[in-house]
Amino acid sequence: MNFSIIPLYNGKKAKIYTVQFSDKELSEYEQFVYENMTIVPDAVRTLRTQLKKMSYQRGLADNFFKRESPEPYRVFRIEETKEDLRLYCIKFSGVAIVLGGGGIKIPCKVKLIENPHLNAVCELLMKIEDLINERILTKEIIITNDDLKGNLNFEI
Amino acid sequence: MSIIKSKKELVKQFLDETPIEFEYFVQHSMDFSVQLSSLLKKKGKSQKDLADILEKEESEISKWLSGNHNFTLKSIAKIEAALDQQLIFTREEIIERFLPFLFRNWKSTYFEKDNIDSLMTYYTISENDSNALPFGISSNSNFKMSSNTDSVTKLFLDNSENNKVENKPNSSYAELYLITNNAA
Repeated sequence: MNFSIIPLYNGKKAKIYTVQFSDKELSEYEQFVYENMTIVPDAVRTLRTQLKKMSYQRGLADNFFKRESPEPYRVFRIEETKEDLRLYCIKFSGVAIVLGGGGIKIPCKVKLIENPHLNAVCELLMKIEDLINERILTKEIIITNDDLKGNLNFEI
Repeated sequence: MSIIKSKKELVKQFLDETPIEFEYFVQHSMDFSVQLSSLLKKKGKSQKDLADILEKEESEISKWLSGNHNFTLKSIAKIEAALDQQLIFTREEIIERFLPFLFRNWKSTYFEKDNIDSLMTYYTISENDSNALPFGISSNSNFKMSSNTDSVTKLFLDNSENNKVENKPNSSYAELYLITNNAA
């Protein structure tokens, strides 16, 4: 899988990236928007606005994120609470997040494993986090005070 | 001739057409959840403690803190009562309650407002009540309006003549900047 980590919002409070696979037209975030914008448009717009506000004004306050992966992985979700629309991300040290996809949680199915479409997103992000972590170890990627720097293109 | 848009263009168009009300809603909800989270920490209470007081599930409190929950005024009032702390304020309340505090503690600060009339009202009301004024200044203190840009008006209390600012012996004046939409 060849992919790049590409910037989405470049605010002073937090940098927000998403994943772009080389063989896909849409980034993972755009795919999330595309899949849900006709079903729950308000929820998608709410999450989009929240991401923008986090990047430019509010930063990545812990209470906006819910952990989804076991530690030491750092896969979290942000959610729109009315429609239960969830968007998954890897959260790096309060300064940057990398967005994957997401979707609507199936009603009454509380566990992630009972929501296979969401579980798949979470597992993909854990794999991507592994790849990023390898590069952090070799210093090909550096997490600075406010950014992810280095080689963000992956050819696997 | 119909134009077939790519998926990317459709996504961009959808996001670009987000109404401005979303900005206000998310701003309010994020601000409230950050305030609530910080107040819980300050009072040494957990989300579960608040859930117990309000007889809610902890997961409900977690949703409230997500940054996009649509609170009702009634639920906000219940939270405020449970924590014995007011969390949202109207503009008038801010002017009446916090403006003196801002003057007393900071040499200069930024105070966002969308027009200047309310502040002038505050001063007019307060000028005959020395107890209500910052630093106990009297009504003949020099409040002056300075020059403006299109959006910023500076109001400052000049103490160079009478040295009225008791807690600021080294400052020549206290400043308050008003961000306005309709500055003269």
